[in-house]
Amino acid sequence: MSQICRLDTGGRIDRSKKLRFKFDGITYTGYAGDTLASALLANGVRLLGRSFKYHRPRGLIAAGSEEPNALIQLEEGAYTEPNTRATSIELYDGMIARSQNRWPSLGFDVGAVNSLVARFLPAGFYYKTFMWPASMWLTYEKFIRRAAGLGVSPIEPDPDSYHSTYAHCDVLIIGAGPAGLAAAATATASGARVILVDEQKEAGGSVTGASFDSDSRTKLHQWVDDVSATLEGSDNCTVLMRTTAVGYFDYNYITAVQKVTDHLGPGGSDSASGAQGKQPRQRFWKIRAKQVVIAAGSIERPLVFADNDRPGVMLANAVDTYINRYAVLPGDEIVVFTNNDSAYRTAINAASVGATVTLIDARSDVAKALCTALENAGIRYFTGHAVTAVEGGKGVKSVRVMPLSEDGKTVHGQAWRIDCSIVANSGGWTPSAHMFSQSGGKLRYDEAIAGFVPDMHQAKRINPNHSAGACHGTFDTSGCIREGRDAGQAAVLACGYEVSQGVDAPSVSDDGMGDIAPIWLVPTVHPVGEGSAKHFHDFQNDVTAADIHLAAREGYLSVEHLKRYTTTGMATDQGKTSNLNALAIMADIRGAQIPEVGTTTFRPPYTPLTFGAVGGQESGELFLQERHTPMHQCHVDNGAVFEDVGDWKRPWYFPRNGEDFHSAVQRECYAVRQSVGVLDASTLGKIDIQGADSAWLLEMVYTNNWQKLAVGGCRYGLMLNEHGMIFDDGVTTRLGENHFHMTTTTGGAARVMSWLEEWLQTEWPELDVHCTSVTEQWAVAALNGPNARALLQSISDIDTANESFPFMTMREGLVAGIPARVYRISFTGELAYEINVPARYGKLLWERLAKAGEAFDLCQYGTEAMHVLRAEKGFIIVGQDTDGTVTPYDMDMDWIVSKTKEDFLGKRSLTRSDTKRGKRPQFVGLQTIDPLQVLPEGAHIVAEVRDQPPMPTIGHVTSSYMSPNVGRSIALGVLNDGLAMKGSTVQLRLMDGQVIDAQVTDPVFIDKEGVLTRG
Amino acid sequence: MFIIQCPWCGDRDQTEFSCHGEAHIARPKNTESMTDEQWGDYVFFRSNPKGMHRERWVHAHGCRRWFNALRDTATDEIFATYKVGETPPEIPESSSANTSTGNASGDRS
Amino acid sequence: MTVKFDNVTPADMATPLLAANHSSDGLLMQELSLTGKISLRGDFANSAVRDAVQQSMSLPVEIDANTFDRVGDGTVFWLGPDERMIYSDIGSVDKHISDLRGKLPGGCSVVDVSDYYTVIRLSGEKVRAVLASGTPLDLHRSVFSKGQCAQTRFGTASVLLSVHDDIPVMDLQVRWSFAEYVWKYLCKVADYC
Repeated sequence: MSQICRLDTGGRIDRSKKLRFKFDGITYTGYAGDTLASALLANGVRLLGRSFKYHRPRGLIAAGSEEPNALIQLEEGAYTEPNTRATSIELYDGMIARSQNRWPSLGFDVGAVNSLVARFLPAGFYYKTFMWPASMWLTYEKFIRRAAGLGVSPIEPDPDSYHSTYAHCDVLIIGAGPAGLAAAATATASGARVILVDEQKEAGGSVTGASFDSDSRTKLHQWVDDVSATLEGSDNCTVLMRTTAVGYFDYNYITAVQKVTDHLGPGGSDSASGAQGKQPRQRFWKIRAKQVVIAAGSIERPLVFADNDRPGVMLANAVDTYINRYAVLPGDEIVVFTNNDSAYRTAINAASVGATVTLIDARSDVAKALCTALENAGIRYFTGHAVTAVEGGKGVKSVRVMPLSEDGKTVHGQAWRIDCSIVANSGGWTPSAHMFSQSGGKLRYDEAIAGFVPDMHQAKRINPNHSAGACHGTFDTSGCIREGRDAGQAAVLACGYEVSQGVDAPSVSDDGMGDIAPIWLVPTVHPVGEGSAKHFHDFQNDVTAADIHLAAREGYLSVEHLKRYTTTGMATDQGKTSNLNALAIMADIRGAQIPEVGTTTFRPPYTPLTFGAVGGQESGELFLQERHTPMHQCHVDNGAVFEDVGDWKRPWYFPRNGEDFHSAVQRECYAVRQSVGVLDASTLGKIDIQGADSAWLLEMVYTNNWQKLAVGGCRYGLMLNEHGMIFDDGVTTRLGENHFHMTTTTGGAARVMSWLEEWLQTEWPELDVHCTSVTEQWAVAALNGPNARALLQSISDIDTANESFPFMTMREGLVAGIPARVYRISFTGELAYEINVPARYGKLLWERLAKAGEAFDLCQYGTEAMHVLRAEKGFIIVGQDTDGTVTPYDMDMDWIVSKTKEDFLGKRSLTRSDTKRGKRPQFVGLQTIDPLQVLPEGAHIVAEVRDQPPMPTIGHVTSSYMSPNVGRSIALGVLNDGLAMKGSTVQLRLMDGQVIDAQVTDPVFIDKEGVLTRG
Repeated sequence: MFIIQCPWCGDRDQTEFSCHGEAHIARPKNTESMTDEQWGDYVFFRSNPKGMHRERWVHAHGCRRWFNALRDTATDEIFATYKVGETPPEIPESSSANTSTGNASGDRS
Repeated sequence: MTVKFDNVTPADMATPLLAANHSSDGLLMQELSLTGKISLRGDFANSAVRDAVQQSMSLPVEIDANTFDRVGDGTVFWLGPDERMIYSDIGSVDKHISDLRGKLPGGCSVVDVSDYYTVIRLSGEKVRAVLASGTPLDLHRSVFSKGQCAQTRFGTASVLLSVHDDIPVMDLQVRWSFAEYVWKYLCKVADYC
């Protein structure tokens, strides 16, 4: 197919670079510089999609990112991206694009039957019909999703790469149209740090597409080129094209997405990569600006008239842009329908490239000069008239026109038909106040332009910004440039720079929108909602003026209710073309002024963006930090299977010879108690505490006594929060009179450090205590098992005899040639030594221990065996056996709560009425009657077994394992009044309905007297 | 996303900080003589105003100092930050975070 | 049967990245060999504290917030109003620590954190862009230049950044356990900058 709608000359396309692309399986050609939309239009393709609810045929409405209809499923497989706007897709060779929301094909769509039953599908229909009974929703949903869904997401992993970065500047300028360029040039000239972003690939904004007289056009293009070149050449200005500011957050934090290689097609980031490094597909900018200049332009509003959604009904500026920028004349016969002056330029421009144009103006009073200009261009025109019908199913064939009453509410007289293929319509221009609104600013209705503009009296103080140009309601190009320059000057002044002269505006003739007389709903021969015609205001969500009437009748008068009831403005375009029309129609129904109806708040993102961009480089192994111990490589080499413990990668178990999880863990547990095992315990939190008041601090943060601990002695401690609940535990050692080494749980290290610092800095600043985290200073290998002493003795100069180095003490010396601190503490109940060496020797220590350990069958064991071994001894794991709701008494640990200390953190809470009441959940052991049955952790102990839940729960399992050393399954748990229930049998009811009997026992399953560890 | 002025390091990104709730809650002395209700007030109850709030922050990724901030919870405007032990600043008269300091381009009216 | 091991020598000292290095257009990155690091807490307005550090290490401790000072082999970084980080030769750390503990008045703390952190040196024109990918700190030379340091965030890791030359040459100090994460992060974004 040839490009039948392409003009021979003009446009900002490169006719020497022909690009082939596929749309719905058919191959077309376009040119470099095209968008997918302009290329399709050049090929005469007008039908681009089906509407969301009624499946009506739809074509292009716009030429920019506000396009509501032409949503495209771009590319295939892993590269596919749904809901992209054809107007924002730069054409590349080999593009594969498909229309969305049609089944089985675009031309014949089964869902279009919705259109025939439209009177059964009014606003609120889905809510009313499908919300009840709730149980049927799953059934309905399948059909609704199929019928009303947008595109489909890829199921493969995203093959593209993304980059995100922070950026800082004095002045961020959003929009590189005339106002934005003027602001950027002015700010840059003053020496300020400037960032300029624009969603288009080239600067110029409206200049690239709008119609001007030829002299003005030449001057403006020259001006844009000059200013752009200056900015590009300035060190203090960063120009980011293809970059859309999507979110405006507090303290002038703006996020923007840069489409770096999207325009090169799938794999474009690879082809763009070279000596300078790789290019990501997209870059996410997180910009902190002292001042922001919003120069986001404006969006033309459609007129709301009967069947205004037929393919071929377009915004007037879109027709301009397709002709001027892309050299595409969308149709030979064009009807221009307007209520303001700007579309007169469209009419004249279209006529100048050969179209037959008829202009219909809803206003009866139009400036004489405009009419003269039309007459000179040979354009028929009718003022005080309206388009009352659009005919043609899959494309406009003709319109009907009738005279309009004085008040614009009715039509009268005889209708006549005008044949045409395009209806270019303009209902005025809506300032793009999205960014200002996102910044927390309120909008103000401006009668003069019939639109909302930023109300600078209601801007949010923490987000200093300036709106300039069309987004501020100034539509003439010279005015935009002046405002941009002023905004740039004000911004740099606020940043403390001397103001530069700023750029000069070229002298051009352009009146912007000119005069406007709003007509919010164009009448037809039937009242709205009657007859077959539909007046759409929200094209993407298929919402009509009749829906607003229905909402009003049903009492949804507030704008927020209207929005949610009709879904107007809630599609992916966020109502860029529809919001004001909806508000105005509601105002009319209520007999209210538009400002009384109010406006909704714009929310990010301005246009849809990919998750990939937001994540940036922080995907895969950078999604969450992985922390490694100094021995990590040894574990990798030894074939460890790793477990995530907090951020740490810890060896979970070390399978040998194809062992599975269970066999490996059983072997490791057994080996430790038979001979000796070694665990990498480097992840334990460690805090160095120095100062004369160190012992006082410990007395306050632990429940037990610390003043009398001897130098070189170790003691176990339990920390409570002020609620009296256990929040961490660990062993702390006295290194000197005023010097302690505290250990914490792996997961609690940061929390405890923060806890100590907060108390010291805010409550006890007068204390002489300093805490320093030393977690990573020390690599720790824990030797556990009856042969631990023999192994240590064989490689250390420390006297390991029981009397010289008793349980719960620390000694310093050489271990395997490495200076070490050895703590004789145990988390297994075995004879145990925790060898601490500076991290620099951690890997060496591990390797040497492995070598020396060969003589003792030293077993490297992981965290799972550690869990089993400690459970055999009934040692708790904070965070597993405790959950922040248990006191030391609940855990049967009253032995560790000092009765003599006057105060410690959490003490008073232990005597609150709730914590001292009896029959609280208490810590117990559980043994299933069947010794081979391993209870699932989390299983509920029930007071009474019933056929189905709910059943009264009296406790639950916190830890459960098969223990090779006890020779049966063991479990720990909490049970109401559990301490008094030891010896009794309880029932556990599992998810699958199985009921298991278990005996309540003491939580210590082996060596109850604690002989081994002291031996 | 706030910018917070650390009393030592100056303006820094919010993600360097963490908030620890209402400030100026002193730990009671003589806790043993308190009633459950008095103790419960200290442990469990905090004010949650819409508007001016004095709260405790820590420059967690920075100098690790705790400090206090006076913030309007409705607008997120931070009026002051001050060191622990310093007298809290007065709550400003006009706590509205919206301003009439104008637009450079003037206002169309 | 016992195995005999030699006592460790400086050659046995490892760092988390095993002295990794990266070189690409406009960017050099290298993990420095193990540096001695001492965490010092105290009241630096107290002349006794200042004198003690001056005498044992010839370093000034009363320095501006977020700056560092280098004298001979030693470098002192401001980390907080009562906190300094001191870099020294790894071989002299034990001597310095005992010396400091002997000379400092009460109310101070001296801790060996040599292994707690490692240091990655970055140089070249791309350094600021690479670091800006992960840190919200403004790194522009007008606000972060030679002699300045800052503790901030890089990805999810707490880091200490310092500017040693405006070329630029910057050091990134990070905890041992986060080093690999930060290194991978740096290498990944280096491609894009």
